Amino acid sequence: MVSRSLSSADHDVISQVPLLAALGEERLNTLLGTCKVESHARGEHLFRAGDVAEYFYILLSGHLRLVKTSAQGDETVMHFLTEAGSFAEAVSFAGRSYPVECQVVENCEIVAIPRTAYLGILKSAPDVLGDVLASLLRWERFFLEEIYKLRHTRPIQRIAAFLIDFEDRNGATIDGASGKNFPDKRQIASRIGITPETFSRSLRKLEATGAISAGPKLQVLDRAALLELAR
Amino acid sequence: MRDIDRISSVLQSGRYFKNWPQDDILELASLCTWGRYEPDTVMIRAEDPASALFLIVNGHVELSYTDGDGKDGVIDLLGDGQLVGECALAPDACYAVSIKTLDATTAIRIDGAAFADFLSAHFDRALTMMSVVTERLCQMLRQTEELKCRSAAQRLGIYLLADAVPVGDAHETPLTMEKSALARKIGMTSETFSRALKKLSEHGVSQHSSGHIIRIADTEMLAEWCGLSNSGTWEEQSDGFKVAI
Repeated sequence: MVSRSLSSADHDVISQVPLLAALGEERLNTLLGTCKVESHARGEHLFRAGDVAEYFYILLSGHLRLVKTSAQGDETVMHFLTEAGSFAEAVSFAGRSYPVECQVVENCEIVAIPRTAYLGILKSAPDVLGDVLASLLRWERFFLEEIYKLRHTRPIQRIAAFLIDFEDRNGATIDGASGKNFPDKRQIASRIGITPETFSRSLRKLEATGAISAGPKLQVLDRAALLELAR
Repeated sequence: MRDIDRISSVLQSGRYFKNWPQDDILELASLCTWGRYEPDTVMIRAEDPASALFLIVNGHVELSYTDGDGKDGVIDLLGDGQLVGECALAPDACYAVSIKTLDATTAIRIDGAAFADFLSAHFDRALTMMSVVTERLCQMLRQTEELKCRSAAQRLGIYLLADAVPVGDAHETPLTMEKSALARKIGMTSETFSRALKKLSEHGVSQHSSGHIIRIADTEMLAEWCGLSNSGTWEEQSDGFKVAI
């Protein structure tokens, strides 16, 4: 891991993160005064499950995944992080341990915000507590959506919805030419909670509709058709 | 007994506010009202402005989520002592889920805006509420993991293990809610629930007293089949999983 000082461009990105925007410019500058931009290489871990959450993080660039490992050693991908934004703030504020581990999928830049520094500033700014809670509650929306999909949608819908969502969050068509690819197929299957066998079968069905090309790299061919299949 | 005294007593005995000083409990109680709801009453409607939190005193409620295409589905059932509608603490928020009573339900309604003002003036209490939200998020994470990683029969097996009590040389679990409601809680249809019970019968699980009592012949064997690890007792693990599922 290497680190550098925050640039004005980094500052602009960070000041858009709701959790930090709520503090106002002066308090935000105080908070960021001691922070650095950390560069992490593919394969590194930002934190492991069970580590005390002394920091929460702002992702500036790159690609991370949050993984839960069962007592039997089975890994489940809980989320891919590809957009600039905060994560791990809820467990950090509560002074708990991280419930998942965070792995670097593609080289990334992050800013680690110390929990104690943030809460110290928050204590002097009780008027922004509501905005902070609102920021935590966006994760509630994320999990509600997850649970709904797992309980009430078919595998083929989940795959279609994942591909559309992943493209949307990356802001570009993912065709390999732009250097951006969908995650590995096994990782997608784990992320959306279906077995590799069901994933392969569903992918073949999707390919037969002409909405995607399944190999060797996943590619969306007909976004409108894929959107329809996601419903 | 006055309403405010009864509300204070309930708040103080519940899991969320039990460590609060008496003065803060009384101040919070002054922001609350009792509510009694008939079965099938919509207490909260998704996307309505979030104006209040509700603490379920007794009864059961069903949470349902509506996706972007307007389709909805049940995502959880909650009962006594559970808090819902925390988003009412955030400015200009809307409810994320709809909540409907399954049976006659009593709940304490906490005015959201007034509670948010109270928290602004009591930082330590605000941290408590952040912990409540965090605990909810961690439960949802575990629920997501369970739905991804375990079969319907394994999830039902874990649920039954959590409530099992020793009876003779076996264990028994009384079913305290209708099977259809339990099926929805664990995230499966009634048909899948029946198939899961049939599958569990291959692992020493049988129904008695017209299906109101479930008998487990060998809890250790069932726990192993359900994928509970060897570290820690299965009782501890299944309790944790029961909260999650």
